[in-house]
Amino acid sequence: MTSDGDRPDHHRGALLVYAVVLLLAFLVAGVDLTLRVVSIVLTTVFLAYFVRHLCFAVSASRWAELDLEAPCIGLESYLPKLAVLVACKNEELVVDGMVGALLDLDYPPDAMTLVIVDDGSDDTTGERLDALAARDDRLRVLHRRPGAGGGKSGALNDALADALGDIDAEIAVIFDADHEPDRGALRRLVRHFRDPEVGAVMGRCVIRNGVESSLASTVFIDYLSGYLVNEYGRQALFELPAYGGANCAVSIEVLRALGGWNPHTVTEDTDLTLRVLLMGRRVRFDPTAVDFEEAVLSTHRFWKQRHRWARGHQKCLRDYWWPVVRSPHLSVMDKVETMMFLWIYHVPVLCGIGLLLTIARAFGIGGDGVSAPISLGVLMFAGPFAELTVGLLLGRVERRAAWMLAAFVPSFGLAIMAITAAYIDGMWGRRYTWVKTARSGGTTTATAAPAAPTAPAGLAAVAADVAVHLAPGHAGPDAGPDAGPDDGPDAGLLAVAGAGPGRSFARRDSRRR
Amino acid sequence: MTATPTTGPRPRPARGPSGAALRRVQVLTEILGAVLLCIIGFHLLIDTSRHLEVGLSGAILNLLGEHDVSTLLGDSYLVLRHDGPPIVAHLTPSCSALSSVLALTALALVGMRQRGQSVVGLFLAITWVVLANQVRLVLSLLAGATFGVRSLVLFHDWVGAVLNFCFILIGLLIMVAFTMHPPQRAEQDRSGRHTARRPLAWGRPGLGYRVELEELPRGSRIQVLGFVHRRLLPAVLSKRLAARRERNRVDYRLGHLSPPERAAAVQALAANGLGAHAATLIAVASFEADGLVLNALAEAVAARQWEPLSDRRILALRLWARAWVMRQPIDHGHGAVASRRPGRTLVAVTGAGGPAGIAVVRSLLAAGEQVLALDADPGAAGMRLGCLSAVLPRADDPAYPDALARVVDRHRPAALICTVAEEYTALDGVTARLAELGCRTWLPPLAAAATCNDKAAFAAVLAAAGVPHPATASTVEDAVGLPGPWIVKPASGRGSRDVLAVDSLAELRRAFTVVPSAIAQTRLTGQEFTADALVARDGTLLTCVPRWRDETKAGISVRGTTFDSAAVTRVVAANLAAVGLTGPACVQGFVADPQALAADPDAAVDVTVIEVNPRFSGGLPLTLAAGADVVGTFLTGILDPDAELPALTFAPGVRMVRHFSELYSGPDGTEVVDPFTRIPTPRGGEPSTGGAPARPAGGATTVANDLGTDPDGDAEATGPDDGPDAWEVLGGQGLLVRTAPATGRDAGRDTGRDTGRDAPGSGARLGWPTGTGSAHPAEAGAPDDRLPSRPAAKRPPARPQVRRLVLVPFGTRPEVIKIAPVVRALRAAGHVVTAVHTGQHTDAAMAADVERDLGLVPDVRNALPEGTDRFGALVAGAAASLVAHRPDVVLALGDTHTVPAYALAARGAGVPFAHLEAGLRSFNQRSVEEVNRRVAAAVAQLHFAPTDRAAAFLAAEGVAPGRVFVVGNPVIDALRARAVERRPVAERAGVLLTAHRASNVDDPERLERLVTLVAELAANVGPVLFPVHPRTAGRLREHHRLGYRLNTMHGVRLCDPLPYPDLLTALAGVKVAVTDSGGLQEEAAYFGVPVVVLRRSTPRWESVENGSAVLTGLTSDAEAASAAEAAVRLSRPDELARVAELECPYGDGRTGQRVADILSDPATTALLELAEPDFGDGTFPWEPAE
Repeated sequence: MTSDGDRPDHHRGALLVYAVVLLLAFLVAGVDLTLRVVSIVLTTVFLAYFVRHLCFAVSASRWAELDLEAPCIGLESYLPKLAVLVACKNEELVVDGMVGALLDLDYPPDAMTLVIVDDGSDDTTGERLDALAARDDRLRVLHRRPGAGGGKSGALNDALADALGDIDAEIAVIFDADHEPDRGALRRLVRHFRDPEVGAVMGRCVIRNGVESSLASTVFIDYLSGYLVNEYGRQALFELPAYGGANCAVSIEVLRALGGWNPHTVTEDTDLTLRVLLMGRRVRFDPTAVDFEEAVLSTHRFWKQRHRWARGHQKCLRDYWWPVVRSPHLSVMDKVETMMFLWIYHVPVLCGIGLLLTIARAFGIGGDGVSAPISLGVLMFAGPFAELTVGLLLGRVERRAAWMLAAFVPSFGLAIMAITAAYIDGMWGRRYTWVKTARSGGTTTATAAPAAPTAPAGLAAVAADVAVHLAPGHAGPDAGPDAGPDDGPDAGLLAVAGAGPGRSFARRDSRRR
Repeated sequence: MTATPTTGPRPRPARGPSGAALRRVQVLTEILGAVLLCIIGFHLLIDTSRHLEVGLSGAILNLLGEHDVSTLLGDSYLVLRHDGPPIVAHLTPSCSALSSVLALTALALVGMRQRGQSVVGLFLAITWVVLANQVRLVLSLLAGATFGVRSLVLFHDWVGAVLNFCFILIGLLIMVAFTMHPPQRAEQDRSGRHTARRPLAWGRPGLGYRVELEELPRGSRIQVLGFVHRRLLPAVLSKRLAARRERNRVDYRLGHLSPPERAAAVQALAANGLGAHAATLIAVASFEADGLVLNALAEAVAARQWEPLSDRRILALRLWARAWVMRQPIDHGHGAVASRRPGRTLVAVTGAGGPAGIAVVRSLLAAGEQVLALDADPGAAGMRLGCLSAVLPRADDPAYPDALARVVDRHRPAALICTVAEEYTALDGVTARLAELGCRTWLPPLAAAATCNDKAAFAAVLAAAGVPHPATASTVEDAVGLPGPWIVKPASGRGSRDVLAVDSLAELRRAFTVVPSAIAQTRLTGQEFTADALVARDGTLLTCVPRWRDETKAGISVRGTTFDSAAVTRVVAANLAAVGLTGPACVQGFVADPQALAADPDAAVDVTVIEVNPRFSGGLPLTLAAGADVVGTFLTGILDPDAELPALTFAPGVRMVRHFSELYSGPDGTEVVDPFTRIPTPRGGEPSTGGAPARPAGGATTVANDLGTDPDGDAEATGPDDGPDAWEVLGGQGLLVRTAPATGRDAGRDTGRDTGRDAPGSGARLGWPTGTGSAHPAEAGAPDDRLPSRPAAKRPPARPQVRRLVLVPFGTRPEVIKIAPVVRALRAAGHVVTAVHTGQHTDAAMAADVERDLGLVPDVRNALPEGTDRFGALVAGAAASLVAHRPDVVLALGDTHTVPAYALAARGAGVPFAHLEAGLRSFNQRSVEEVNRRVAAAVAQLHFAPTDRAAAFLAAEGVAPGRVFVVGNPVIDALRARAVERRPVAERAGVLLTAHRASNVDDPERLERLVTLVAELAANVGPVLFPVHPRTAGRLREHHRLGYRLNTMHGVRLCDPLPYPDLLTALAGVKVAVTDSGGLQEEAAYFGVPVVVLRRSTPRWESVENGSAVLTGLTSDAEAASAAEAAVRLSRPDELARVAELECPYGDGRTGQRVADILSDPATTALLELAEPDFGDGTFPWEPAE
C-alpha cells in the first residue's frame, strides 16, 4: 500500500466548524428558529432530489421499455479487439466456471483476449488459472505477488501495464469473478465505441440469486430500478450515466491517458467516471448488455457493503467537487447533475437529521405542527418509491412482488444508518482497511456458483501438491501479512473485487434519501 | 492521488439545445402539468370534496349508531359532548383525502402511461385512500366525543398522520399492483427468475435469470375479458382496445410458436392488413431472429405495396422490408422455378456429393427451394448444384458439430436433410443447437439407424419380428451350417468393401479370416429390387416405391423400372416397423419369383429383405419421376413436425436409364460453357415436364446424372428436351465426377448383384471389389476418405496395379500421427489396411484423441499386461494378428518396441515386412530405439527411408539399394494435412520447451539444470511454454521444490501435454524450440523453427547438418549453459531468418502416396518374396557375383 492510501485524510476541522456554527445559531437565534431554518433547508434539498427522481421515473416509464426491445445495428460488423479483465483473489470455487463462461462469450476468438489477474491468491486459484491458460490461447494469466497492494484497482492496473502491452486491444471489458455475463453482452457493450466521444460503457447488472434470501430479493428489485430507471434516467435526461466497475467497458486509450484505475479509493468505478467526464469523454449505459451477479444475503454484509460504497462515494465528492465546478467539458446542467450525483451519499445523512427533527417536534422542540415533518417524510421516500415502482413495471415482474415495496422501508432505515456511520467515519478519518484479506469462501457471495470444482488434473495436481507441501512452512516471506488490523473474517468481502464497488451506483442512488 | 487530466483529447463542441435538453423539457413539462393538475384540481374541488367527505363520515357515524356528531355545518363537524361544550371540528383542506387522490392520479398519469390496467388500479387506490381517510376522521371524532378536544387533536395530528402515511403507501401499492403484470404475462418472479418461457431471441434482454423452474404460474382464469369483448362491447370499441393491447401482446401471440408457424401467422396477419397489425409486424421485424419468419414478413410486406400509408408504421415496415430484401443472399438463378411454398425455403443438404444427395438437391431446386449443399469434399459435383455450398469435416471428426452449427448460423437454412446415414450420430448431438438457429431436421431414432448399420443386429431384429431375411451367421461354425452358396461381408461395412461371394466351404473359412468381424448369409436368387420408402413420425408407411435393379454399376442402379407389388409393400412395411425407422428408407431385397408380378401385382410372391438403409437412395430420381415426391413430403415433415403427411402414390412401370453428365468450371470458378450445349443454357428456363423433370436452370452448365423416364420402356424415345446431344453424352463416360462409377468396376461384376446391393445409391462410399486384381486404384479417387478427387487429365497413364492386404501396427502417439496419412493413402489406392493398436501406450490422453483426430481408428486393439512381460505380450499379440489377418505385408513405422515385435512375428509367419522411417541412426549404443531400428533393418524387405542420408546409412550397412526407397517422412504429410502454416519470423515469440527423456528428468541434478534452463530462456529469449509430460510432472512432484520454483517462475506457462494440433500451432509460433523429443525436430524443420536438442546424439542429422539444430545435453552445468546460449543465438533475428530460408530436409508431404504407389507396383511383389539363396553352385556369398 502506498503512503497516500495509508494516510487517513480526516476532516475533523470541518466537523468542529459545523458544531460551532450550530451552537452559535442556537445561542443567537434560538433553538426553534434554527431548527426551523434547518427544516426548510432540508425540505428544499429533498424537493430537489424528489424532482430529480421523479424525472428519471417518468423518462424511464416513457422510453425504457422500447429501448429494451430496440433493434441492434451492426452487432456483427463492429468488432474492435478487446481484452476482458478480471481481477480475482482466492476464487478457487468459481474460477473454472467463470473462465468457461467468459471464453464462451459471443465474440470472435481472434479479437478477444481474456486477462485474469490472480491477485496473490493463497489458494489454488493461480494453479487452476495456469492449467486453464494452457488450454486456450485466449486466456492469459497474470500472477501478482501476495501483498502487491492496490486491491482491485492495483490488479487491474497491473493488467493494463503488463498484459495489455502486447495485446493491441482497444477496449478493456471488466467483470468480477462471480459474474455471469449474457453471451451477447460484449457486442452490445462495444457497439457504443463507434462514437469517438465515448470513453466508457456501462452494462446492466441483474441479481441472479434473489431466490436465496428475502434481502437478496429486495436487492434484486433495487437493482432493477437502479439500472432500468435511475441509470437509464441519468442517460436519457443528462447523458451522464455512471460507470460501475463490472460488466463495463473502457477505452484503453482513455485508461492510459488517465493513468489507470485509482488505487486510493474503495469505489474506483465512481472515481473513474468522474475522471472520464473531466477529461472530456462520456460514459454510456446500455440496458441490454446484461450480466447476472449475486447479491449479499445477510443484513450484516448489506451494512458492510453500503458502508463501503458510502465511504468511497463520499470521498469522491470531497475529491472532485471543485474540479467538476471548474471543468470546461461540462455544461451548466451537466455540472448541476454531476454535483447532485456526487451528493447522493450525503442525502441519507440529511434524512437522518430530518428524522431527528421530526422526533424533536413530537416533543415540542423546533416548532410545532406536524405537516412539515410529514411532508419531509413524503419527500424523502416518494422519489425512490416512484423509481422502484417504475422499475417493477419495466422489469415485467409478476404482480405479487408489489408488496415487496413495503420491505424497502426498513432497508431505507438500515441504509440511512450505514451511510451516516460511513460519513462520520470518513469525516473523522477513521482508517478504512480495504486491502484484500482472506475471502470467506464459497459460502458468501458464491452460493450459486458452480457446485464442485473439477478435480485437479495433470499439472494442476502437481501445482496443488506443491501448494500443499509449501503451505505450512514457507508461507512467511511470500504470503505477507496484509490483513488489516480490524478485519474480521467478513471484511474480505468488502474489498474483494468480486463484491466490489463495481455494482452500479445506480441503485445506491435510488435507494436512500 | 492519481493525477486527473482536466484536458481531454477533444474539447466538447459547443452546441444548441441537445437531445438531452429536449427530453428534459418534455419530462419536466409533464411533471409540471401533473403538478398544475394537482393545484388546480385542489382549488376547484376542495370545497366539494370537504362537503362530500363530511357527509360521508356523518353517514358512517350514523350507521355506527353514534349520533353525537352532527354534520349540519357542511364542511365541519359539530361534536356534542355530554360533559362539556360542543366542539366544532373543521375539516381543513389538508385533512381531506383530495390531495392524496390527486397525487395518485398525477402519478398514474406521468408514471404509468400507456398501461391501460393502471386505470383500474387507480380507481381502487382512490377508493381505498378515501375510505382510509374516513377511518381516520371517524376515529378522531370518536376520540373527541369520548375524551375531549385535546385527544381529538392529538389523535388527528399524530396517530392519524402515521395512519395517513401508511394509507397512502398502501394506496400506492394497490395502484402499482394492478398496473403490474399478472403471472401469465410477467417475465420474472419476485426473485428475478425468468418465468415466461420465452425463447431467447424473443425475450427482452435481462428480464429474468433463466433457471429450471419446477412449477410455472399458469393462467387458468375464466376468460372474462374475452366474453366482454365478444358479447358486451361494441365492435368498434373492442377493436380499438385490441389494437392498443396488441403491442404488449405480440410476443404472447407469436413468441411461443415454432418458426414455420410464426411465419404462417405473420403472413396471415399481414394479409389482414399491414395497418391493422402494424404493431405486431413491427415487433416481428424488431426482434425476430429466424430467417424463415423474416423472409415471410418481407414477402408479405412486398406483396402489399398498394396499401395506403394510413399508419406511419407501415412506412417503417416498408423501409425494413426493403433493407431486408437488399441484404438477402444473391439468388443463383434458380429463382424462376415455380415455388411450392410462399417464400423460398433454404434447405441444407448434407452429403451433397453423393448420388442420393445430388438427387435430393436437384429435387429441391426443381421444387423452387434454395439449397445449401454440404459435403466434406469441396470438389463434389453436388456442391456446384446448390445455391450455396459449404465444406464440412467428416462426421466422425470432433469438429463436425461446431462446423455445422457455424455454417447453419451463417446461412440460416430452415431445414436440414441428411443423406448420409453415418452422420446421424454426430447430428443427433447438435439438433438442439440447430433448432435454436431456426434449422429443423428429422433424424430416424438412433437405435433404429444403428440396427440398420449392424447387419448382425439387423438380422436378429428381423428374425424376432418374423420378417423374411436370409439366414445369417456370425461365426464360421454357424456359417458352415447355413445352406450355400454364401455371401460373406463385414457386419458393419458399407459400400461393397470386403464383400465376398463364396461357393465352397474352404473359401468360407478363409473369408472369415480375411473379412473383419464377418457375417455370412445364404446367397439369394431371384430378382433384386430396391424400394424407396418414407415413414411418418408415427410409424405410418407413407409410400413404398419398389423398383427392379435392371443394371447396376458400382452399386448404383443405372437402369431400373418401378413396379407394384402388394407383397413387397407388405414385407417392406413389416421390416421398417420391426426396425422402428422413421423418415426416408431404402430397402433392398429379392423377389424369388418375379414373373408372377408381371401378371398380377397382388400375386403372393416370395420376398426377402436383405438390407435397409436409413436414408434416401441413389436411385431416388426414379422414385420422384414415378410421381412419389418423397423429398418434398419429407421436407414438409421436417418443417412442421405435426403436419399430417399425405400417403404418396406412384406409377409402376416407369423406367430409368442413367447417363453421366458434367459440370465445368474455370480455374477461377467461373462457368465454362458446356461443349454439348451449342446455345448457352438460358437463365431460369421453365421447369420441364414429362420426360426430363429436373434440369437446373441457369448458372450451372450441367446436369449431373440426368435421368430419362420412359413409361413405355423405350429408352430411345426419351427426353424431348435433351435431344440427340444428351444421347451423345450418354455414351461418354470420359470424365468422372464422384457419382460416376469407375470404369474398372465392371471387372468385378462377376460377383453379381451381391456386391452391388451393399451399396445402393452410394457410389461415393464404394470400395474396391475384393478378390480381383484389375482395379484402378488411382482413378478411384478416395471416396471413402473424402479426399478431393484429382482431375482426370493429370492422372498418370494407367498401368496394372496390385492391391495388397497391409497390416499396420502402431502403439504410440507419434506413430499414430505419422502413420495416419500413410494409411489414408494406402486405402485411397485400394489397399486393404488392417490397423492394429498394439497396446503399447494405453494412456488415453496420449493417444485416443490423436486417433480420433486423425481418423485412424484401429481395426484391432490389443491390450498389454502391466509388468515385465509386456514385450512378450507384444510379440504374442503380433503373432496372433498375423494369423488372424494373413496380410500380404506388414508395414511398421519408426523405432518403438512395436517395430521389432512385428518384424520378428512377420518373419515367423513368413509375411514380408516393410519398415517406414528406415535408416535413422543415432549411433548411440545406449539407445533402445537404435537397436529397434537395426532389428527392423535386418528383417525388412522394403526400407522406406525418409532422407538420402538415411538411405546412405542403410547402404553402408549392406542393404541392397533396390530395396531402399527414399519417400520422405510421413510426418510432413500429417503437417500438410493440418494446414498449420509457417509463421513469418517477425510474428514468432518465445520458446517451446518439452522434456521427458529419463536421462534428462530422472536425475534430480539434471532436472534442476532443466529448471534453471527454463528460467534463463524466460529471461533471455522470451516467454516459455512448457507442456509437461506425465513422467516429468511425476518427477517434479517428487522434487516439489523444483516444481514450486517452476510454477512461480515469471514468464513461464506450464500446461498439460498439448493436443497435437495445439502443439503444432505453438511450435510454429515460437522463435526456438528446446526439446529432447525426436519427432519434434522434424516438425520444427517443417516450420523453419530452430531447435536446441537436449541430447548429445540424434537420429535426425539433417537439421544438425544444415545448422537449424544444435545438440547439447544436461549432464553438466556447462552443457546446460551452452544449451541456453545456443537458444539465445538461434533466436537472434539473423539466425531466425537463415533457418526460415532452409528447405525442410524431411520430405514434401507425399510420403503416403509414394508408399502406396510402391506397394501398388507389381514389380514390388518380387521384392516382397522371401527366397532362399542358392549357394549350391559353389559360389560364396562374399565373392562378388559374376
